[in-house]
Amino acid sequence: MTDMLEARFTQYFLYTRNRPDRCCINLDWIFETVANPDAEVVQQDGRIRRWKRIPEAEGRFLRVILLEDGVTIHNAFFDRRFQG
Amino acid sequence: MQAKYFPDTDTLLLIFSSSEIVESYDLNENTLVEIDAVGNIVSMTVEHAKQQTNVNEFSFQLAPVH
Repeated sequence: MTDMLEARFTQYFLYTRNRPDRCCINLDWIFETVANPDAEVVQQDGRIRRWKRIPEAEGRFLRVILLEDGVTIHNAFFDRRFQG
Repeated sequence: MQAKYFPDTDTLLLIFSSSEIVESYDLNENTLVEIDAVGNIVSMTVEHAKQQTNVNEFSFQLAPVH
């Protein structure tokens, strides 16, 4: 599983990470979503969306966006519209 | 209002207010809109911004009041 030492992040991710709606998202949840997603969609631009239900967050679905390299984390937020 | 551009991913972030974000949804695959509890837009993220916007010629004008 990815950990903080080997994880790569975009500047957008690092900037938005400080926002109140994002700072509550545990990094371990993000890494777990990357490693063991419940669903995955590859966008037209090659970026990858992965979702995982997070029991510790009231069962909400976390969406993580990876760059085309499949490694670099670009965005992560709770996706209320995702139905699983 | 703020506009922030991230050249490493060609991402444009427009921040309209500091209200708490309660929901994020896709306008399309390259545009993410975030709203507050009463539905007002808080921010908008535009991916591949140079393809979709004139990000290098950003300007702001206050229209005159008549």
